[in-house]
Amino acid sequence: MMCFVRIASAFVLLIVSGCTSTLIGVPYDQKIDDELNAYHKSSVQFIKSMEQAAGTPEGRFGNKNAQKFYAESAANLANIQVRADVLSDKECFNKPVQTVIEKGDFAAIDEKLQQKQRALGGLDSQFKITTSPSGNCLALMVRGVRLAQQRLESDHKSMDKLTPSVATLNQESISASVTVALKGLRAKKS
Amino acid sequence: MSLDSDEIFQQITQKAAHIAGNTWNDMRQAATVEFEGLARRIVMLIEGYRKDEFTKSMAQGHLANMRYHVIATIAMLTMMTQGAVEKIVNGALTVVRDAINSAAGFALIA
Repeated sequence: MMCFVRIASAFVLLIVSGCTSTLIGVPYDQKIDDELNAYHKSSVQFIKSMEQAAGTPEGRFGNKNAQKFYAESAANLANIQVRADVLSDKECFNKPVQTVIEKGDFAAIDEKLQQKQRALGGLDSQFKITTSPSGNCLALMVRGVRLAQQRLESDHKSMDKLTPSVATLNQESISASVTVALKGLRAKKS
Repeated sequence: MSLDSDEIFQQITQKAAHIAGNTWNDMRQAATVEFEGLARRIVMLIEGYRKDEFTKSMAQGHLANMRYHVIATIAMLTMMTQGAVEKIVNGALTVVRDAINSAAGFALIA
């Protein structure tokens, strides 16, 4: 009942103010939509080519083409992240929810992983990106894309090749993270 | 011209119910696809690990990302909900705009 009253009050306020366009949180952004699509296409092509070249010099992590792809992807995704960060300062999850996520086993696993990475000789590049649930919803989803991208780079570096299973899992992870970001973003398209 | 509040209410609720119904179906479908995909990737990861294609450290890294993906999926559903609320509010006003403006005698709702 209270909810109905609040919604009804919101309608009345909007009518009185003459406002016909309401925005909650992040607005739709065509550039981010385009950039995520472009990134996805390049990642599919890259992973397929590295999988086919696995075991040859062309498929190695240190290969010039691989290094170029990783550098460009990291730069492009960092740009998308900045753009997403500044689209809205409205937090996707409120503080109590963020605290639950941060204090839950998610954070504990993160810490454990970092300890293991240190024991193995240092943190890999994945941990340069925070896994904090803070920020607006789009920023949070773009962070997921960057994590998937850095996982691919880290796997490639570890094995010095992309075997079929590693290639497929990374491709699916990247596709899923991009899909989630695009679905969320396009929900705001009027 | 007089306004019928019952008619306005009916128009608004019908529009809102239509948008909410469509959005709920989209959200249900999107969440199902994501969680099915997640389950498939977990199986893929374990099978790859058994075949020695993944080291333990790689598998742990993927698992951490999968956990983050659950949070990203909730963020996606949150944005879909926000988008639906925006469409309901804006759509509800649009559907009664002409009647209200006509009764007011000027463009009260732009």
